[in-house]
Amino acid sequence: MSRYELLSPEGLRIDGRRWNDLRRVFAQMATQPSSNGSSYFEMGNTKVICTIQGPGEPTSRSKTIHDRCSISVDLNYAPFSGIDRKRRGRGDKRTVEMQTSLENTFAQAIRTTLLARSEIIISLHILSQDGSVLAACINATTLALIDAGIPLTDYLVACTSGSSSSYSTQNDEDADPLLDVNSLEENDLPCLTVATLGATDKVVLLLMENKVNVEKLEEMLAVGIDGCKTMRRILDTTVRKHGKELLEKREQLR
Amino acid sequence: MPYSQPELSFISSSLLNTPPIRPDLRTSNSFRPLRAETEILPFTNGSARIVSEAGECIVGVKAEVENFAEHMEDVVSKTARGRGGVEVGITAKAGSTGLKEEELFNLVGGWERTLEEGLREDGIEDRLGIGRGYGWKLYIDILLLTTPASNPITLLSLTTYLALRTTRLPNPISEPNEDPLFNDDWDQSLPLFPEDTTRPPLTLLVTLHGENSLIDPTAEEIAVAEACYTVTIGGNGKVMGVKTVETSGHIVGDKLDTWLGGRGGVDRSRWFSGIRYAASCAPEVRTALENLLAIEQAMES
Repeated sequence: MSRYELLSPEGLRIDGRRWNDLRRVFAQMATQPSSNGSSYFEMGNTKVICTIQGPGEPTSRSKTIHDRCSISVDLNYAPFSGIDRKRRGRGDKRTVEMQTSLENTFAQAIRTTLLARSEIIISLHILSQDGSVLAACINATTLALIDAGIPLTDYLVACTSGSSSSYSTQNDEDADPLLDVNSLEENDLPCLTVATLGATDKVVLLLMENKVNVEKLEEMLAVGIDGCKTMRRILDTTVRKHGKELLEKREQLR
Repeated sequence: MPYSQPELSFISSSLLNTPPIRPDLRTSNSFRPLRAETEILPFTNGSARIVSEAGECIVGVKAEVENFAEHMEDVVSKTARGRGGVEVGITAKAGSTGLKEEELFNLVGGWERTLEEGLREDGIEDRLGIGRGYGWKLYIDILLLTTPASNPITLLSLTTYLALRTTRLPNPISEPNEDPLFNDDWDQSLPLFPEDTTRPPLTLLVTLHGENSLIDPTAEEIAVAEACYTVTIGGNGKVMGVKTVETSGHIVGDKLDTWLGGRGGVDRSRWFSGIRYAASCAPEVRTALENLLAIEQAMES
């Protein structure tokens, strides 16, 4: 039994959301003038900054691929991002693992064959972590890639979901799936991160590291994919709003 | 070297005018435009972010309770209010900057120590004491997102100043001779820099061009400078540190001579005038930052 009451008797979660509520999303594009593309993404208290360098000449010869571009991800946890101050070294295993999965995921959304023999460097800075860090990174990167004008097949969006099953063990049948978990829920419940290509059901990335009943997994996945659809709508609104602002600025300059 | 000789010569001769004509038409003591935000990170005691042409910088200040009693020898100081500690760290990722770790160290190297020393000088450690050998350990972590071609020290210093000024520590409700216990209410927390204390130190980058001194120089201005150094000014107006950053151009007669090495060096009097100029600018910079904090606070309430 957990120390926290993760789900109140009324069915509200610890931060007052219902089971299918996303946290407040705040996104900005083109935050940094000196990079090719940049974005700022906030999901509740999880905050990520992404900058893109490229597509350009590969930094080393080993990064040159003859028929498509290579993608390098550089992920960095700020020392002040968590509850306790912690400096993570370069070779931190979890960071490296996340970098690799981000590289592989974005290789499926970026039209890599159009940018042969070049390299795209994605740098992500996690300023504040409160659950769903990987999902926030994916959404931030998508926005930054769009800002950089890199051809994508569709928005690559990600969301997390959890299941309250292990929490209420006595009545496992009516355990609710939860959308967009925060760090308290992430620590106590089985959770998964799912990334889809646009509003389709095409899953590009699925990550789960806990033990859970197969039926619950199916439910969690369905909720996660629904969350991705909402997320796509939010990102689309952000991009359109940004585009509109840019056009207005151009009109003013004329 | 990204600049051609004619470019360097042009920039140099404009900067040698009285008053100097800077490439972006600023006056010698004005900064590049910047956008600042404070209290942006919920998990920190104080934070700030500045985005400007010079790059982007985010600073988070975190305080953790530590027992300093083991390092103290006498019983008196163990029972007294005690002391705290300060640690400054700079993180900058080479990924998007194309800079190597060592190159970055050359740009900002040692500034952490200057800041720590400056804060200590102002007696911050005594204010960080809680009691019974316990004290706050203050971690100031600076995240530099894009290292610009020019030196980022000024940017780091301004952001750190804002972050430190917004830093708040939980209010202790225990007696000095008890183990520490704090008030949970964040509204009751105490500012790290109350009104009557000296403000955190500021570091400004200065370049010398003939009789002119420039504040917040760009990369091309640094490239033609006779001397380029950082001046750290404490909250009380005293100069706390000077550090030469780089010298690339040399004036021979009245024309710039970058291609001939071995003719460096600037007169003692001109070197001093640069330091004095920075020290005279510091109060104005501080006022501007304080005004910014006042606006942020007014917006919140």
